[in-house]
Formats: sequence, structure tokens, C-alpha cells
Amino acid sequence: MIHPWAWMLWMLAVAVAASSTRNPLYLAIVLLCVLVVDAAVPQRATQLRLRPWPLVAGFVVLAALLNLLSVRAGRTVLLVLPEWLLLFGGPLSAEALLAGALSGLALATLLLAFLVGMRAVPVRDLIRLLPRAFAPTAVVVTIAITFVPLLVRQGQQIAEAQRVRGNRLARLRDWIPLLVPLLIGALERAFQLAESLTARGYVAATGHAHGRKPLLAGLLLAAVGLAVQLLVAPAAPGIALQISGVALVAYGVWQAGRAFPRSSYTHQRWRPTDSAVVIGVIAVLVAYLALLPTLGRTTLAYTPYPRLGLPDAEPARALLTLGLLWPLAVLLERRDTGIR
Amino acid sequence: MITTNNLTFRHTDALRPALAGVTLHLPVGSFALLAGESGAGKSTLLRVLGGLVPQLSGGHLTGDVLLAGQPLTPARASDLVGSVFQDPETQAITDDVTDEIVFALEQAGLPADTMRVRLEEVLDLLDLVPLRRRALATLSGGERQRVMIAAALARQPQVLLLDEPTSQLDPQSADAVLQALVRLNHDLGLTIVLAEHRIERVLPFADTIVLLGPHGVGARVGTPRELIGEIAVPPPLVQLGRALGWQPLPLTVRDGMRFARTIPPPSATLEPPQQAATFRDGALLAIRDLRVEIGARRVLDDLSLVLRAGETTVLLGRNGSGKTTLLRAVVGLVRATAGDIQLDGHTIRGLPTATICRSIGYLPQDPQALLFAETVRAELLTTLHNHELPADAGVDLLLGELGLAAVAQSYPRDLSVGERQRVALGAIMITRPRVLLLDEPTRGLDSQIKQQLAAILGTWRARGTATLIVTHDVEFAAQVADHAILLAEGRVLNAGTAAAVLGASPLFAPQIARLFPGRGWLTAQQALAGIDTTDNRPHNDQTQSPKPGTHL
Repeated sequence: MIHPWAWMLWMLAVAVAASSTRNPLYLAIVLLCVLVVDAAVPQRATQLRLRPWPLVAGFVVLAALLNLLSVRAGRTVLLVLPEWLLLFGGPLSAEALLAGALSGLALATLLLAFLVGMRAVPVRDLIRLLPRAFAPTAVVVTIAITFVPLLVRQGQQIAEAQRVRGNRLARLRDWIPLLVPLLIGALERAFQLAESLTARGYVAATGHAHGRKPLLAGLLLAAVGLAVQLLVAPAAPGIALQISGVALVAYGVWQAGRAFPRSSYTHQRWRPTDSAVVIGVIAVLVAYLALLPTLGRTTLAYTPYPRLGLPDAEPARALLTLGLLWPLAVLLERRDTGIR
Repeated sequence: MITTNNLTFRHTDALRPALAGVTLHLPVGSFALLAGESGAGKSTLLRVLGGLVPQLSGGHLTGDVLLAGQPLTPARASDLVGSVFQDPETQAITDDVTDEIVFALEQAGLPADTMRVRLEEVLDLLDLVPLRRRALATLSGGERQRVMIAAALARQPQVLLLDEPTSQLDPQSADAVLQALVRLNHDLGLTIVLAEHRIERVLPFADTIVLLGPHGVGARVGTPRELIGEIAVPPPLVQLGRALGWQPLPLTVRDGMRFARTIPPPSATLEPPQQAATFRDGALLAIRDLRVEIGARRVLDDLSLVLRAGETTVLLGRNGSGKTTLLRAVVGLVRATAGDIQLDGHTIRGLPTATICRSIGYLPQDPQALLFAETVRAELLTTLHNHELPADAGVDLLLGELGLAAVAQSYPRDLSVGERQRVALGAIMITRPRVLLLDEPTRGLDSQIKQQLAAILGTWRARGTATLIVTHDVEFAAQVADHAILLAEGRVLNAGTAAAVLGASPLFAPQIARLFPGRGWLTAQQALAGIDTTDNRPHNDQTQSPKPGTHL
């Protein structure tokens, strides 16, 4: 099992890579890595899984069409729409079509990486990463995860009950009978849940007051620091103020967390394989933030405008991108050992 | 362990108290059955003892509540008392077995090592070890309820309060839950207070009955043998024992067998069980080779049955055997993948639900889902309006039949559980359907309200209505059924007359059938009619008093 923090960093690396380039070669490699990892993530019984290819195709086609109809740049004209079509009239270029498709590809990759992360890490493990100061928020999210499917099922039951009474649910006003039982049912369930929480000793603590002062002071300090940095030269005093503000906010969060005695049963150890995932993430960050002098930004900044051309690529960057495949080694190892 | 003195509680704005002058004492290690008719305040009393009332509900509480000799405070209640409620689904906070059990421990900030020990203990106690990694959604009702008990026990309470924990479970799952409670009571000395309408399920295990008076006025505490005679509608075994003068009154089938052996066998023999009902002419509702698949799972597998006018059929089976799916498939809420459904010789498979339900009444498990109108009368009129039928005198007639004439202008959700159930029945029966499908109609109803329901169904049956009832309540099934069908994994396991099918089932046999195997009697009335009472009463067996706590 990969540590939730490692998954978070992996999602961050995909986000950085997909948002810092429109080079189709790099984007294709990033997408391929995400698809391969997606296929290796084990499917839990109760999980919904979106099929990745229709999702990618949908995003690419939609973004390409939108860009084609709304952007008038590009020299390779595919079609000229009459001018009386107010928003869409004029030449439609192949460059706009490709630029749109590449944006769609980047967006689809981002979303897919997020979905893979959500499938790989139970939401509850993500919630456990929150600082203790956010314990009430964590409980609310936990309850929502349980409550929302129940509410949906209750809605379905009520809709069925109304159909049984001859309601065909054809018109908008036919849906009104659903609202009353749904609302009352949701309130009843909320009350039952409150009883269940109270019976298990949960008390909604009012601990925010503990860290509120340093939290507010920290935010204020950071804002002032930002203003100083923007308005006054040199920037050093402003940056110092911002760092102080962030430190104060961190102290406030820690202070607020002391009001919540919450502990965690699941303590996932950081394993060498998690470090391997992070090494892969670092490789990607190095490649896409152009942190090495040998890797320039030129090939990242591919654009099809003004006329279509083939993109350049640097083999080193393409190779570093494959660092996104590191989770695969851990996931395949789990399969071999039969761990679920 | 638990003491109350003159406990009185009134909900905010309520005209009369929900509990009035309740005084009781339960020693450490009691297994108490909380009994009383609907509205007697059983749930309210449990919530007072659990520290939830009036803290969460509001209202005014007077009198003393002592827990281990100290006044009950919300903090003490949360430390010493665990609560388990009726519906395992709505009380779950997380969606995973382990997370659910450790939730309270995490909130209390216990160290991980302590949590691990507590988790392992409760998993062992409730036989949940194989399920520890499962999602709650994948568990059966009984398994989920055991998880909820484990979650309550993880905090190591000294008292466990349970509000109808088995009301939604099939007999086997209910038995597993009750056996787990008995183990906790015997092995750990845990004090258990359990409210339950189907008291025949709990009587073999309880050592104390707390009998709340009507409208929560007063409470009597005693052993089951002392108080069983005061329960308005006791279990069939007790009814029979009382009628035949058996002393001491038997509380379990094992107790009763000593008396039953003295009853001579009948001259007539029981008819053998029939095989699955066949599709043939003359049926009002005929289902032939019905198949329903949900995802990759075949929920109904080539199932055939017939319902005839003026006959009541009960459908029994374990949770997940396909009973509810069958009813939903008949009214078109689930798409059948193969087979045929005919109403009066005409195929209805594929028709819209609204069209089918003009001729077939279907009462789902939760009747509350049907109710939304401002008045009881408006509920019935809405159904007529939906079906584009005129509002005629039939509305008042049906309200009268259902005993709802006096509350015709009341808001349905303000009514009692039994009245709400009858309003929902009215909302589906106002079109005068010839076939009636009921899904768990006795869930949450006390014995008196069940008698009222049985009487209403009897009236409609006499008028020619064909009724199919899905139920886990074997005593109710025994009372109303002409025919019975046992379902397992979407197939008919056994079908025939109620006497033959229920009498032959080790799992679904009612008390009287267990007491007199092979005689074809299912209810106390049938047994009394079959017994020559002049030869068999009275019996008095004081020398060999049955052991309390013996099992069915």
C-alpha cells in the first residue's frame, strides 16, 4: 500500500507536468503513465469507476470544438463560416483545433490523475492527513461520505413509492411529493446520526477559540507582508513578514488542535517504496519546472500557432516523466503477493 | 446498576408526558426485556438511560436516574452506556467495519495500541473477525447490527441499551444477534436492556421484564414468568398455555414440550408439502419463469408462482433471497430479464408502474415514503387523482374500514406507527386493487396493532383480494397465511399450504408448529381447536420448573 502522502505528491507531479506544457509528446507520455497506473490500482467492491478512454475523448473533443469555434488565430483554414453567425462566423483553423485538443488532453489528464488518487486512497485516509484542528471538519466529511449515498437511496425509494401511487413523475410538479418525505426523512436520519454520535461519546468541541488569535494575526501579517513586497523595494522585509505570518498561522492551527484529543487507529508507515514514488515525483518536478540547466523551457512551450508544426522534444525530459510510473512497481508487487 | 425513581418526561409542547412515574431497579448483569404497547415510551426510556433525552431532544425530565449508584449525567452516560438503535443503516457513521468500531475510540483520543486491543476484543466477542476489512454496504443486516453492537462495546460500557435491534432481520440473523448478546451478558456480566415487539424472540434469554404501562404511566419489573401474563397479546405459546391452564406458563418451546407430550396425536395426518406452484389457468396473478438480474447477479432465477382470489400467501426467506425484488419486479420497479407476469390472463410485464399499480396495490417496506399530503383524506384523494379516478364515497368507506375516520383531517406524520401504516395502506388500496403486495408490513408494529392489521387483511381476503406478504414475522405469517413460499437465492425452495411449508421449516416454523410437529397447527387458536381441551386441562408442573434462560 502506498502512503497517502506519496499519492498526494504523485497527483501534484501530474498536475505540474500537465499544466506546464502543451507539447503533445510530453502530454501523451504523462497521460500514458496515468492510464497505466489507473489500470494497476485495485478496484474495491463498492467503488464506482469511470472508464478513462471515454473521459479523455470527451474532454479532447469538447475542448477542440470550443477552441475551433471561438479562436480566430491560425493560418491553416479548414472552413469559413458565414459572418452572420455572430459568435462563430469567420475562418476556422486547424491550429485552433489542435490547441483546443491539447488543452482538453491536459485537463483530462489532471482529472484522471485525481480520480486515480481517489480510487487508490480511501477518503478516510486522506481525512486522517488533516491536522487535529480540523477534526470537526473531518467528522463532517466522514459523515457526508456515509450520508450522501443513503440520501440518494432514500430519494429513489420515495420516487418508487410515488410511482406506486400512480404518480408518473412526468411533469415538474409531479416531483413535489418527493420533496416532503425526502426532507423529513433526511432530518430524521440526521437526528438518528446525532444520537448515534452522542451515544458514542462524540461531543462537538468548541476548540477553535484556542488558536483563533494567532491564526488571525498570522493571516494579517502575511497579507501585510504581501502588500509590502509588492509596494516597497527591496522585497526582503515583505517576504520576512510573510514567513512570520505563515509561522503564526501554523502555530494557531497547532494550538487549535490541542482542543481535540482525536487520535488515529490507522497509522500507515512510510516505507522505502513510498520514497521511491517520491523520487519519481522529484524527477518529474525537476523536468517540468526546468530546474536543470540542461533542460530548457523551449520544448515545453509548444504552440501550434501561427502555423502547424511538429513539436520538439528532449529525450531526458521524456525519460524523467516516466518517474510517474513508480507507483506501478508497488501496485504490481501487491498483486504478486496477493495482498488486498 | 440502573435505578429510576418516579421518572417523568414530557416532550416540549406535548399534552401528556411520554413517561410518567417510572420507578425501576435493574441489578448488575441483568438481561431486561423492555415491553409495552406502541407509544408506551420504550424508546424514550432507553434514550433517557442513554443520556440522549433530554440533552438532544429537549423536553422536561423530573425524577432520579441513577447509574451505578450515581446520578446519570451525559458524561457518565457516554462512559458507561452503549446504545444500539433499530436501523443499522442510519446509525452508521463510517462505511467500513474497522473504522466504525474505532470511531468512538479515535474521538476519545485513545492511543493506537489500546484501540488495537479493544478492536480485537470486540471483533472476537461478536464473531466479526472475518469481516474486519469489509465495507458496511457489503454486509447482511444481521452482520451490520453486530458491527453496531461492537462499535457500542468498544468503549467498554457497563450497560448496553438496544432499541428493537432485530426488527429488520430474518430469524437466523436475529438469532445470531441475540446469541451474541447472551454471550456478552453471561461472559462479561454486561447489563442489557432491550426493547422488542416480538417478545417470543427474547423471552428465552431475558431474566427480567420491564413492562411499561399504557402511555408510559408507571412500570412493573419482574421475572418473565411473573409478568408474562400481564402482556396484552403474549406470544402464541403463552396464549396456549394460558388457555389450557398450563402451570407454570411455558416461556420457551422446550418448556412447553413437557405439556405438549401429554396431548394425544390427532387422527388426521398433515398433507405433504407441494412442490413449487405451477403456472395454470384460473390464477389472478401468475408469474412464470421470472428472471431478474442486477449487475452480474441473478436475483430471481426462473421463479414461478400463482396468487388466487381470496387467498393470502406469505413469502419467506433469508435477507437477500430476492423477496423484495420479486414484489418490485411485479409492479415494474425492477426490469425482469425473462419470464412472464400475467394479471387476470393479461401480460403486465413491461407496463409502467403507475399503470400496474391501478390494479395491484404495493406497500413498500417504509410506508413513510408514501406519505406527504396535509391530511389523511388528502393522501387517498391524491392517489385517485394520480390515476385520474373520481373521488367518490369509497374514500370515506375505506377510511372507516381502516379505522381512520376520526383522524381523516389529521396530518399523517403526526399519527401513531399503526395509524401511519394504515394511512399508507389506504393510499394504495383506494383504487380497490384485486391484488395486494405487502413488504414487511409488521415491521415496528406491536402485537395489538398486528392484530388490527390481520383483521383488515382478513376483511379484504373475504372480499376476494389476493394478497402476497413478504415477512420475517413467522407468527404473523402463521396467523394470516393460506399458502407459504420459501425463497432461497432467487428460487422457490418450498411452496404449498402454510401448515405444510411453515410446519416443515426448521427456520421459519412458528412456536406452535415447533411444539406440535407434524400436526398442522400454526397458531394457538388452531391448536386449541384441535385439542380436546376437556382431557388436557389443567396441568400443573410445579415440581419440574423449567430453567430460566433455556433456548428455543
